[in-house]
Amino acid sequence: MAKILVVADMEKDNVSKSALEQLAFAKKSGVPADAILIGKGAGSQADILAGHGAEKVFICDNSNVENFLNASWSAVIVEAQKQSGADIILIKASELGKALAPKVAGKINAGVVNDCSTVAIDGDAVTVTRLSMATKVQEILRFKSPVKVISVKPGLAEMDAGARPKAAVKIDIAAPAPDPKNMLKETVFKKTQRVDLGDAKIVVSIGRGAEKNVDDINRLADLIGAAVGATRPVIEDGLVPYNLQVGQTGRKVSPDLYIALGISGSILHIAGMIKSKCIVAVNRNPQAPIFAVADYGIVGDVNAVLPVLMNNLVKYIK
Amino acid sequence: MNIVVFIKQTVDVEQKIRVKENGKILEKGLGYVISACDECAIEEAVRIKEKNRDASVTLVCMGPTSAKKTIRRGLSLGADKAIHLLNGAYNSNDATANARIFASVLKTIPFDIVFLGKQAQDTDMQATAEILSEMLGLPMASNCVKVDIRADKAVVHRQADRHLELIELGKPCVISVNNDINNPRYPSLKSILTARIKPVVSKKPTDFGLGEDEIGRAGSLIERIKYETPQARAAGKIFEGDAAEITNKVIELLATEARVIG
Ligand SMILES: Cc1cc2nc3c(=O)[nH]c(=O)nc-3n(C[C@H](O)[C@H](O)[C@H](O)COP(=O)(O)OP(=O)(O)OC[C@H]3O[C@@H](n4cnc5c(N)ncnc54)[C@H](O)[C@@H]3O)c2cc1C
Repeated sequence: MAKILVVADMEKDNVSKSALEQLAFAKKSGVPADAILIGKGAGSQADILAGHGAEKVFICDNSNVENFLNASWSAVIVEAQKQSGADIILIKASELGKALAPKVAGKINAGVVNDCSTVAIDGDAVTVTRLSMATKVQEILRFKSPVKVISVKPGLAEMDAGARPKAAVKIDIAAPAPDPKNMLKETVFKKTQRVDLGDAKIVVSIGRGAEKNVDDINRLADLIGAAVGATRPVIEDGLVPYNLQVGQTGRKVSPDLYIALGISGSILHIAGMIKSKCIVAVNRNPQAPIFAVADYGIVGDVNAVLPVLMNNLVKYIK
Repeated sequence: MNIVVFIKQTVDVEQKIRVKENGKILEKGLGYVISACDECAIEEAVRIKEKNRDASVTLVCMGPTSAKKTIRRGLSLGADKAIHLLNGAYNSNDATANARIFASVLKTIPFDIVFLGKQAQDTDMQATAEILSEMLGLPMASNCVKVDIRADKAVVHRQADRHLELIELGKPCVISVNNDINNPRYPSLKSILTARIKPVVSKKPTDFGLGEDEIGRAGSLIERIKYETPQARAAGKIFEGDAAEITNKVIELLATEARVIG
């Protein structure tokens, strides 16, 4: 009988939405689920996870785990998996999650698949789908190992918005001692109050054709509560920080609305945004490949279109 | 100092890729390249070598006979020698089987630093470097955008989702690199020519002590059922004309038709 362990992470002071989506997925699949929550202040979120269906909530609330995310987190997750008896471990397919999943799998000789869009559980059989080759193909994979580690994209299932917190069955897990051969010395955050690319409902993305408009685009993003993304050349030109690169080797985003400004539409960029619900492209070249994936295309100059967006888009944002 | 770089030859994802009715990729006519992050890993290793006279860079490439091209390319970037793991029938490894083979190779050659690309450009999976580090019990960092090798440790910058992490790894260690870490050089004619005479030894994945059931399909924990062509996005509405007019039209449609704002 299958059992899921959801690896929940914190977004600022709250448990992440994808963890709640994963619990909703477990319920929908008729599979019991436990959760593990790691990080400072994790204990305060246990009742929320229980309210969303976690039978047991493993907690590692210790600043030691901040010391080195992958090395110590994977050990904590393996310990929780042992105690829970879960055979399916779900992790958010963030940059951290995609590095963590194979570390966990490597420790317990489990199979691992990163970046899955769907998961199907049928008795002991687990199959997943994911995009590969810069999203040009989709592959369907099957696990042969007893324990399966899966990192999943946002939107695995609709989270239960009406769920109320409930007293959790809490189990504490001690953090391993920091490993001097593997030490996180410093964490550098870019100073921004803006919503993170991964969580944003709207992303405004800057291409080489909009490099002169970076200030205005930042302003637009602030006006409408959007995150800013960019193509690789714009990052290389130093106009936007590294962690905002969207594409095959950058971030993969799936907001409700993705606005591509002056972006040609290379497959290496499209690979990072094709899963957006709605794509708007602004490009002065009607032949630009970005229009092939756009729901709405504006053939025009960014310099002319941007002021209109700044004036009028904001009227629709609550 | 010995640096080992694992490299992969992958299908060039910028070309048209078709899925056949039997769920396999139509391979006829496909072009192959060195996986982008792997090329950056070689470049990074060569830059370290250029700063450390005693350093040597060994490439390990698992792939068919045709992967020779990728190996020569890597050597022309400045690596010293290479091991070609001819996978032959064992060409359906998952990340675990790959890592197991790489770990067995590393038990037979000296190394201080192991580099891999963050992800292969064909699978986009990202798992081999992490599993390899677990199998060897070595410190590792994923997705690095800066590497600084000191006497007793490696200081790396790892790109996370919202932040950068400065991590110190004791040597020996495993480092996976993002393609943003550097811009690989264009090899000169001279380096292309000297690459031809650099030593390349051909080996089989079973030459390092592993049994046949530990590699290939038998040794893999993941099996591909098939490939599919992803669902194409529905054709969009493309507007030309007065910028203000068409922009306002699109804003209206975002609210009334797509319902993603308002
Ligand atoms: C290994 C590797 C990995 C890569 N990974 C990524 C990745 O993860 N993400 C990524 O984005 N790229 C990546 N790239 C780069 C990618 O191949 C493209 O070069 C890049 O996406 C192009 O960026 P762009 O669209 O901004 O620029 P361009 O291709 O130069 O396009 C600019 C567009 O702007 C339009 N334009 C110009 N001026 C205006 C104007 N005034 N108004 C309106 N339109 C205008 C032009 O018509 C053109 O279509 C990678 C490349 C390599 C080699």
